[in-house]
Amino acid sequence: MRCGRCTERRAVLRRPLSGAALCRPCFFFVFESEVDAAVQRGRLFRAGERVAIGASGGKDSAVLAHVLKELNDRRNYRVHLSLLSVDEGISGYRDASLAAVCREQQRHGLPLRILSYQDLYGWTMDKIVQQIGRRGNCTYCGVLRRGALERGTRELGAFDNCESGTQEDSRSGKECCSKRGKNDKEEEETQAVKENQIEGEYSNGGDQQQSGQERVAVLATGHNADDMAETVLLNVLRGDVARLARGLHSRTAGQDGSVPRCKPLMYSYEKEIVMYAHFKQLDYFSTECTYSPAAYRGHARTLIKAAERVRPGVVLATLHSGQNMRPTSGVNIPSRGTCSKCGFTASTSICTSCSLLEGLGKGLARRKIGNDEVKKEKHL
Amino acid sequence: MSGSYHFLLVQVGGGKLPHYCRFLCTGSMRNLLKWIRLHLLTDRPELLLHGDSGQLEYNLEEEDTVLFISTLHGG
Repeated sequence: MRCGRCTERRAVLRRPLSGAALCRPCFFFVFESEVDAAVQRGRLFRAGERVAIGASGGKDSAVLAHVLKELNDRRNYRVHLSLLSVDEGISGYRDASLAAVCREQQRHGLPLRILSYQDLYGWTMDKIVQQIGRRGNCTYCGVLRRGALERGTRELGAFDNCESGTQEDSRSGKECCSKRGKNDKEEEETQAVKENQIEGEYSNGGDQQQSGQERVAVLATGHNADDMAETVLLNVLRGDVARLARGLHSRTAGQDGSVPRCKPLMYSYEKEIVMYAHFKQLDYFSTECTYSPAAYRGHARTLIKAAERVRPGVVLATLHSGQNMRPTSGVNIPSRGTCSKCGFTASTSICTSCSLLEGLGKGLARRKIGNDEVKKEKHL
Repeated sequence: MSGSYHFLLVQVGGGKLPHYCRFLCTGSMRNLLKWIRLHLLTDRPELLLHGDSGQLEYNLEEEDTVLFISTLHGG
């Protein structure tokens, strides 16, 4: 079967949405062009910005890093790319996936920074699960990871630790693979000291930049179209109007102390991401998290997958619907303020991150996070 | 030619070195999947096969490669 685009070469796949048959080079071209279109139309990047690519070691972030580097060069975005990884301290899972990040990093050479829960919060997910069990642990992980990524991106804006700066970046590429391990306490301590110094400078909370030249740092994550469609359904099923209203924008505004975030792959089908990674022979880690339970998202995913078999367009159509939903008047949308403890963006007096950690420190049983919790906090 | 046997390559991929199996096979994709479910899957067949989906009628040809890639994990 011939490629539908060039009609010369042999087709190697069919696109999930259109069913069009494509050869390898044509597939690369259309996939990359579509990501480029998402970047340009969504105005995701501005020249000179620092872009931290959230790198988990999985298929989406592997593809994201590869494509953004390619497009940055070829299409001249003129942004400074680097990788930002988070080590939640899940043995047997995260250490393996971070090894995949390191291997890919050897390939494309972007600077890499790894932040660990141990250094940031004094807790690993393994320890958290030991304390609170397996229900609600994903909530902790997600909230703490968001905080870690935020911090890492902010620091990218303040310090020049991409491309040239290997001094700040104590876990830069080549070192990270050889130095990781329990023996390397000295290195961890140096990193922890650096973190504390950086934290001190932000202790008055919310200040985004040091004096001097302003550097904008934006976080790019590998969320794909399937993820976005699941999120829409998830929020509908849970009645989380606030989250839906916040929108599924290409780039968040980044006011009031939170870093701008964007999702360059948000219109790319998961199937195509996997096939791109396969045909480009990208190295990624493909196992479920040790603690992944029957997360609620799984139900949304099952439904989307079933619907996709009948009508492949459902993935993008659901996302489109979600992007165009608006709350009616009278719906309570939490207002944006700052946390009194750490200064990051929060809709309550103490942000979820701080209150979760407080609970852990006091040995409190798992706290359920939901709308009820938010309402309770407001009355305190 | 229906009824004749062809060499097939079945790959299991996903970020790591793929596993290869060479098969002598005849007929359609549907037959191959049935065979795989019967003879190769030891656990949780519903992870691989779920109901009916398109392109089951495709007739396998000589030196075709059938590639299975998992998406059951985070990105």
